[in-house]
Amino acid sequence: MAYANHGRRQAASIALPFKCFTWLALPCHAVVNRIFRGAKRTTMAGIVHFDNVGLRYGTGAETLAGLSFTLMPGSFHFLTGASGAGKTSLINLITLAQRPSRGIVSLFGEDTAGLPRNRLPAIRRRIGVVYQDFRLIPQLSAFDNVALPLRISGMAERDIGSRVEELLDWVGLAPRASAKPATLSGGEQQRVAIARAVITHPELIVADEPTGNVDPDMAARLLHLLEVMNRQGTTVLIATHDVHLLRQMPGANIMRLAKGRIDDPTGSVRFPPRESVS
Amino acid sequence: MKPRLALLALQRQRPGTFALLMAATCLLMLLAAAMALALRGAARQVSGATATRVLVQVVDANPDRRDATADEVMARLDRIHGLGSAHRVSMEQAQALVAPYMDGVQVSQLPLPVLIELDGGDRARLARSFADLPHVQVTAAGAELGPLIRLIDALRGVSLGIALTAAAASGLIAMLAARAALAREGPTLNILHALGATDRQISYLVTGKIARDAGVGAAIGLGAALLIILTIASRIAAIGAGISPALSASAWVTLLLLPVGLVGLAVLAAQAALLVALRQAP
Repeated sequence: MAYANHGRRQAASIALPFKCFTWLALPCHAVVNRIFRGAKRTTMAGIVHFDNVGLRYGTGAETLAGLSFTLMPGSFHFLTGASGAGKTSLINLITLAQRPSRGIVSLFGEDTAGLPRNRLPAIRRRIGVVYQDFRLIPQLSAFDNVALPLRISGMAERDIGSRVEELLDWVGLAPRASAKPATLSGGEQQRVAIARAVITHPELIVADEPTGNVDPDMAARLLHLLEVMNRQGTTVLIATHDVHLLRQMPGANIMRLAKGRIDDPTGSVRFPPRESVS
Repeated sequence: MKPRLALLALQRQRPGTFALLMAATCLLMLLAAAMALALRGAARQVSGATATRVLVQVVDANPDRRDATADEVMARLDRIHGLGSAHRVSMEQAQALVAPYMDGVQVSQLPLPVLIELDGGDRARLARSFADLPHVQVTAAGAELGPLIRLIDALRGVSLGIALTAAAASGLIAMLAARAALAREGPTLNILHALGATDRQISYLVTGKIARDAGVGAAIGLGAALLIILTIASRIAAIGAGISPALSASAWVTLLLLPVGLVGLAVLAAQAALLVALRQAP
């Protein structure tokens, strides 16, 4: 089953008007274009490809079983399912936080099982991850948290400052750049986490319940942020069971997980989402 | 890894137990190493002073025959090439040496042997030269001090063993500290992994902290060790009688460099432990 989509074509059909958030200092498209100028995009058939993938913890039953799907470059996907359905496990497989018990997980055209360990960091750097619990480093300021991926990738310090400041400004946190995560609200931490996830121009953004800790207004803003990035060609996968979030992206693909399996074998776009999703 | 990653918590924590353990092992290692170096100097001093010294004794109760034999020995020694020097101890000198032990005895009446001290002679060759003289005994001074030199060598070996054990203990402590840091900072390191940090980058973060703590510990250990060594050296020097601390300039340089080596060893051991542990992560 292939969950294929083409973000640029899809973007044209998005009902929501392309507007800037109140906390954005500059027009979104101009800022995004500047921030993500020169970003390389994959042209391979599938940016993520699962082939009969299973995941088992210890000797228990399989948490994920027989997963086969493909995420095409530039597509926008929602991953839904009830709590315990395996959404986070699936995200862990995509972000290489876990290895499958069986099957093939290919990222950016490479079978990750056959990759030597020293090549995994390069793959991880092509993926931006937004965790449900943010996973910001508490001892670092918002600025340093956002700058972390750039420093890890070895970017010169002189090139980091302006880029981080610009992105913090874009997410409306420039005045809080020196604040530690503990002093930020949930929404602010979420925006820092998103800024950290996108600062390296990832080809794939994976977000696990990105709106789980924010109010509806902020959720809409964050979704729009990801939508804008998707317009730039970034593949986006959002795990959520928030029906309202799904309603805001009528053109997005929806993958539904139930008991570790993909529930909808057609892989077709579902809108409005079935009420059972929530 | 860029410098600002050093802002992480594991870099900013104060030196703790690990630094104190490093100080203790560094102190032990330096004291043992100082003892080994001093004993090496002493062994060299003793063996160097006695290795080529030979004592020829003419043991004869008949004074006339004894003196004649001694004259013959001196004459033959003059003809032997390669001898450094030969000194015949006068009878007055020999009697003066013995007198303090002979309370009330007329030492002039004792049949003391004639003593001839040689420097640079070979005992076996000399013994062959005097084989036809029945009352001549040739003794190598070094042979008599052999057991002492072997004892010094054994003590030196023990000291070296203690120094190496302390160094190995430092390495093991560093490995344990690295594993503990990995467990303590697990969430932070997991985030770094997820953001694409390599095992080496993460291990550098932890070993940076370990290097700093090991450096602090080694400095404390070095300071304490120097204090003890200098105190003992001054006490030995105060004894006099030709006994010296026997630590050469090169020995002092070695002692000062050992803590640096210890820190390097600790960092390498920690690095190895970390890379092995990180390899277990997905």
